[in-house]
Amino acid sequence: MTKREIKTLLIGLDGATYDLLDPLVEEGIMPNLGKIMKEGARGILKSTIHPLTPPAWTTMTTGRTPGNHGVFDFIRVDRSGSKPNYTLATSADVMVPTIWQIADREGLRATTLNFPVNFPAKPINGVVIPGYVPWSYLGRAIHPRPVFKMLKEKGVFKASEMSTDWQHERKAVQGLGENQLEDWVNFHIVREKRWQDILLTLMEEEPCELMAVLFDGVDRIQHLCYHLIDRETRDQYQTEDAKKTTELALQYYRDVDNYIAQMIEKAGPQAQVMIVSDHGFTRSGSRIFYANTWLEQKGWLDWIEGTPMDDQGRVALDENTEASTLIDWETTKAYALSSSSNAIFIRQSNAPGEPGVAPADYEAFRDKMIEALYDLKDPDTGKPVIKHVFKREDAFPGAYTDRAPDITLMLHDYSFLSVLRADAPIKDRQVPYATHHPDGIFVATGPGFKKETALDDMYIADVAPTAIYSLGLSVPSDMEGKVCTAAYDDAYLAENALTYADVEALKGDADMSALDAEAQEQIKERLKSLGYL
Amino acid sequence: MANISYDDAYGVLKEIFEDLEDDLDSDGGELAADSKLIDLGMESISLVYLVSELQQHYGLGDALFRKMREEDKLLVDMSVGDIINSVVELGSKASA
Ligand SMILES: [Zn+2]
Repeated sequence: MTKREIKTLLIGLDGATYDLLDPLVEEGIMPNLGKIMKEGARGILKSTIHPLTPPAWTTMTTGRTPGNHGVFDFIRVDRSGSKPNYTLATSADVMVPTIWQIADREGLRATTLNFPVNFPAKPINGVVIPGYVPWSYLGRAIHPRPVFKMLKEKGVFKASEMSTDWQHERKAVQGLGENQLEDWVNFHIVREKRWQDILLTLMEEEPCELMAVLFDGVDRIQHLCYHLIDRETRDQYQTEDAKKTTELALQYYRDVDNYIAQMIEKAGPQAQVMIVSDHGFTRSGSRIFYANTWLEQKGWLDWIEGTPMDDQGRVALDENTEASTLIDWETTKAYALSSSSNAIFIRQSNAPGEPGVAPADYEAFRDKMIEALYDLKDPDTGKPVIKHVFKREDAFPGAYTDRAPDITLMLHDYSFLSVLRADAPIKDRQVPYATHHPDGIFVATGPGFKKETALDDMYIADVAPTAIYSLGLSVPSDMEGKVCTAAYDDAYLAENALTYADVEALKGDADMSALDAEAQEQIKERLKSLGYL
Repeated sequence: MANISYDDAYGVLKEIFEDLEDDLDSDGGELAADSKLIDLGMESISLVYLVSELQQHYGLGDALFRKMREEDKLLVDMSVGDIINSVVELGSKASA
């Protein structure tokens, strides 16, 4: 058997933004990325409406918008019972095929490392190590089994150093004390090294045409340390702890830069490489919106007796207690369940007398809430708090709109809301924090890609069809993104005709019609009208 | 879907814990039916992943989570025997 060559290498940097990368390149901290960005094609990659890791990466790797792939948050909310319940979103919630599955279907091999909502692994010819799996389950999560054994034997698999520690993670969402930030950055330095070792080992032992890896320390570090990384602000923090953290964080980017060079080198000169982020990043404002507290003031939510008031600027509880346990489900009509989703759910009563809003009153109720949200001003500054309120049918049209929250908020400073109880709906943040921004990155390099080219803004759904085209396959006609032909040189496009595969023939059930050019235009228009493109 | 036997479900669970044995620093001994899952060395969050895997393995959709919710059972309270019996019960319902 001839050894398989890597055709397409997809490098994910969760939350990477040009706002930090460009200055880091200028400072000489990321010379390899600098060279690639200068010599290759680069552009802004617009994230999903609500730029959040699970829906955004799922759109990136399926070419479908959340309304059609079914993932909206880290959790999947089930509203069928008498009160809302939720579980972690899993691969079973991804309702459309990923690029890895498509490659597999076409007889190619694919490897995917550390991507969210990939557990339990959907079996493919290749390797799946899902992301966001707690360390004590990660070993079991690897597909196929012999690869797990091989990685253990080679000594590159170290579960406790590679994986998500959820207790740690929950704390980190709240911000850490300055003296804890060093540990946080160090943890991610070690962690990315582990993933890099695994990737390089797999490139050698299990070569695949499509290889994809996600480094998510970028996101985790930026949430807590953006102010210490950003050249504009880092000099304002001069304690020993702060200076040490800055040094370590810069070391982290240096490492990632090296890893990028190593993996491109290892992939070989024939590989087309795309470096992408699921969303960008920006500093949060100084205030926190306590959505459930606001709903309580409006008379739409009740807390159960004894629910404590948050006075520490937290967005969620850090113990194993979920926000849903604080809410009185006898009376509550609307609620936020997770900080990450920035969403408010409206409860519809199943029968007269049951809690919630009667279905006939739903539209009016929701409109009233939206109006009130737009009217909401920060009493300290007089400025509006909410920039956009998205109705689910506008933001997430598709086969799975009904799984989406009723409304999704974009705050003026792009912050995540708090689900906790407080003595006022808008309060001060207590430690510096950074948040997701809609503008991610897309950088392409390798044979066939244009040189020294600035691309127009792309949409995150464009990456999947571009990856499929890069593999030499026909692009499934139901993908909502389109191949980024602007990134390819003319000779390559002429030699490699772009073709489409009729997915109806593959699927059997005709629940969704293929998107023609007109429908794609409509989606773009809708995103524009929502202020998103 | 075929019936699921207690022994089969036990075998699946056993294999899972064998794979994790090195990471969990467990001795890989027998899984006693009355052992609490949480006492086998995992973080509580991993139990959610365990249930997801059992659901996928037996093609149960999210029936196992639903069943636990309906019965108001918490994962941290469940024993090895409880989880196996739940899987067996769902298997017999689905094939009935
Ligand atoms: Zn992300």
